[in-house]
Amino acid sequence: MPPAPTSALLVLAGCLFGLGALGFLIRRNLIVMFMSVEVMLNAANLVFLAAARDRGWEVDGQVLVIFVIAVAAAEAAVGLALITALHRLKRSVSADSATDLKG
Amino acid sequence: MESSPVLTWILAGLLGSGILVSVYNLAGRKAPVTSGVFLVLMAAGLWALLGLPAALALFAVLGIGTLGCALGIVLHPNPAVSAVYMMGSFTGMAAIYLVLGFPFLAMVQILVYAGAIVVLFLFVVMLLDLGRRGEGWSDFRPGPVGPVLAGGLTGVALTAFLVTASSSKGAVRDALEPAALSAKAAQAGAAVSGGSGFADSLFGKYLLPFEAVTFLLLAALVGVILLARPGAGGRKEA
Amino acid sequence: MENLLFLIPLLPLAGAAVSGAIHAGLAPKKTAGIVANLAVWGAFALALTLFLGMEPGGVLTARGFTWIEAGAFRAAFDLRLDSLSAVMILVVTGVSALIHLYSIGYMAHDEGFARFFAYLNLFVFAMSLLVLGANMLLMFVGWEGVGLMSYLLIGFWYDREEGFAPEATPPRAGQKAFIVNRIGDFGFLLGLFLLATHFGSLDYDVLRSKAASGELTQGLALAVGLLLFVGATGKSAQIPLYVWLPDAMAGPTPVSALIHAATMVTAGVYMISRCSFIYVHAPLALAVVALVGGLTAALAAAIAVTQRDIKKVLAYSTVSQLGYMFLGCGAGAFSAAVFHLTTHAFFKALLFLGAGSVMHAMHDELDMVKMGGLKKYMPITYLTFLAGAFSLAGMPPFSGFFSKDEILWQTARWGDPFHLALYGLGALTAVLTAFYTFRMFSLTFLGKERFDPGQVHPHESPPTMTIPLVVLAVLATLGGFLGLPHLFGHLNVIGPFVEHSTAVIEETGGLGHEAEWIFLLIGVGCALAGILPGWALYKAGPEWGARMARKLRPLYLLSYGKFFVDEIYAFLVVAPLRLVSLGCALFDIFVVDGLVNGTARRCDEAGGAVNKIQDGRVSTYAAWFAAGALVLGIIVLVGVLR
Repeated sequence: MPPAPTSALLVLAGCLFGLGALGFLIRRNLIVMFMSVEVMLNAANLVFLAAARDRGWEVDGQVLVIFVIAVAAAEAAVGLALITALHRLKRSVSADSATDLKG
Repeated sequence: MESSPVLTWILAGLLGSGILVSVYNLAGRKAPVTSGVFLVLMAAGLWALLGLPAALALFAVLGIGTLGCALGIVLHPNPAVSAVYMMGSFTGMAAIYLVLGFPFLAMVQILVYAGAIVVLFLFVVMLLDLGRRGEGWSDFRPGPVGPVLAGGLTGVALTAFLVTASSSKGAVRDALEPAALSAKAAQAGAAVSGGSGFADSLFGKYLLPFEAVTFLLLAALVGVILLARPGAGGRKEA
Repeated sequence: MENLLFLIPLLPLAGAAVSGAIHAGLAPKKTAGIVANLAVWGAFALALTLFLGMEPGGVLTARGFTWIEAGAFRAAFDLRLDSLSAVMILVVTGVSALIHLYSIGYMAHDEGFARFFAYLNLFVFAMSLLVLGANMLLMFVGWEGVGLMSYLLIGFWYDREEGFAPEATPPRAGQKAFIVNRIGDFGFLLGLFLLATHFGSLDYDVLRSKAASGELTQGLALAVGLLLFVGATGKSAQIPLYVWLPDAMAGPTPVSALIHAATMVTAGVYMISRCSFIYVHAPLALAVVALVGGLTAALAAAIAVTQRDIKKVLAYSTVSQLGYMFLGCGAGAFSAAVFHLTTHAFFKALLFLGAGSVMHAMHDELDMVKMGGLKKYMPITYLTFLAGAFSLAGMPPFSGFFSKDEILWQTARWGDPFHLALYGLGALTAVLTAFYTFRMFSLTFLGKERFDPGQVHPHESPPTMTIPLVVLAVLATLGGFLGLPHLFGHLNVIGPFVEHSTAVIEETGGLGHEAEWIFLLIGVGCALAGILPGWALYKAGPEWGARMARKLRPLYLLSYGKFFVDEIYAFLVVAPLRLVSLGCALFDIFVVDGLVNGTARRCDEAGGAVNKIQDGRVSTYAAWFAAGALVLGIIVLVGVLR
């Protein structure tokens, strides 16, 4: 069947990115903020793939996506470990609770 | 991927039942907001499915589904529920990859994102016991700053994309010609994702970044172990 | 052989360095006295040797390194020994050496013993540069150097405040000396600049030849002469800049003897004699010099007759005698002025050291009213002081008579009303001089004791102090024979060594040599006219003086109050200057500091304002992030859209 147009893919990616940014800026819960970041990463992946497909199914784009997924996984692990440690210290996962570096 | 009426019918059935469930909830005034949103999304999806050409329809449904799940992540106060929505979002993305013709990446997405990362998030949510109402649920940050900035960024991105898409610049124009893309796909042949071309590239041209990512994962592993120990997290070393 | 000249300033410099090290702990303090004395006596021996080895009229030049070379101007570190500088350096090193010896005894109990000798040696170094310099720039270096040492030595007891009026503590007196000198130095520098710009050099040789060849116009000579004389009024304590000298008595007595009697204050006279080749081209300048000298002599003598502080009497006496020297210079008799400089160095140093001996015995008592009858307790001091007194009073055959008489004769010789009037002033001053001198002598040594001998226990001073007194007394008595006048064979050792302008006087006529006898006899008469009343009226004590003070109260107040010159200056000069400096200080505090500190404070405030952005919240930072990205995106978009 005819493939989806690239412009539509880009629009979807743009909206996903916007939603992720919105979530990051609006929510106070650190874990939800983190989830929004993952959404943004997904949006970026989608753009990569759209571009790769557009250029004749280039392999480079796909490899890049693999790397993004791997690094995102590592980052998620470390970030959640940090949040856990913060929770141990401050008994809270609110972003507003970690202001010791103020000023 | 070939379109098939079976898939269309399955999807239509799913969407239809989903709509019915939403209407039922709304009628019984149970979870009105969520039901309302679902109703709208699924109606849109059904309309897309029935009104648009096949390829576009599938893509539209999947896209709306993913966006809906992302919206759920952002808007739901319960972090556990947000995690579930995240899984839905990732699964939707995987499906889109599949539709686009990247089956390997779709599998990787399921394995790593929907399989490992979501589970990790859920572990942490449960560990910190954030699922109960009140504890760990957070207020939304008031003020226009967040929405304005996010809206601005989205607007900029969309404008950029659409403008370049509608321009007469080479490769982008071809995107409006689905037929050209199919031709290119036929041409690319073995280079289609999942084939040996991918492996050649990963372990050939990109061997160094590959090994670097390995180290990165190792470092992350060690770091997480250290961070998660009881003594870590701000208490001074004895 | 000429290069030995460099040792004359260098020996005291080394002595000062070693003494300074001793002060800092190198060796026990007493050794500083020995080191310093060795240095100065060595310099004197060297000076004497070089002098004896020189023919009359000969010149010894020691060439040193080139100091300044700027365009056409060149100045080198050269030293010059000719007749004039030889006489001066002998006086300077000789009297300095005696006073160094005296100081071992006088300063024996002082905490700053080593520091004192370091300063004294440094002074001799600077003074020898002044005297031996072959150009006026080097002389000026020495000029400033002795000024600095004077400041340091007047304020030697920098933390002593009791016994002094608040404006006249040692540090304040030192400041006054330095600042008043500085005013004179301004004129001096202007004179130097004129010479340097017109002739491109400040070497005496060069300047002398330019003057002789006619390149020195009368106008230039007048300007330079007057400006240099301004400097001389500062350093040599003439009207109007003499006010620092009486206050300088706050320093230790050896300092008063050496610096403010024998050597430093004579620098002005030396300088004018050195530049005689300029002054002979400017008769008006010479007239000004003579007038100022004569007036100063009279004014200072009038103040000295009522003072009770023995050192103040001697200080005003110094000012007065310096006036005589300038009178001599102004009359063209430079050799007579230098002769009087020499004899004055002998007897004034002697009188100061004798006063120091008295103070030593009287536990630093200065008021003569509280003395009396010291003759039997300190015979050596008594006798030597008497010799000095006769010399100061101008009694033949003491040295002071010959030198003073020579000056007065050379003044009267001109024969014109101006000079005869100056002579009259000088003669009157001679009477006053003899009077206050013997008033001082009688009050101190004669009559009955006006103190309690059981309490005070006066005694003669140790040999380190009395030996210099004796040596100086011999010099003060016999020194006159260095410069006998024409009548007695003109055995004039100093005479042919100084360029002086008898030629000028010969031209304008004037009195002949026969008149010299008359003035000689008048001189003796003046001396006696002062000595006899001074001795007779005060030998029994100060009662007569107190009676006269009551009867002639206004005159007494004028004299005792130093004619209120200090007070006038304070009102006219010092107070306005203080206001100006207050204004400057306020400007500095509020405007300049305000600007600097204000800028710092604004930066601080700005930093504080920017600091508020960092509230420690991740979400805030994220928002800024997004905003920045948005702006960048818009920029790129706009760029792409074009």
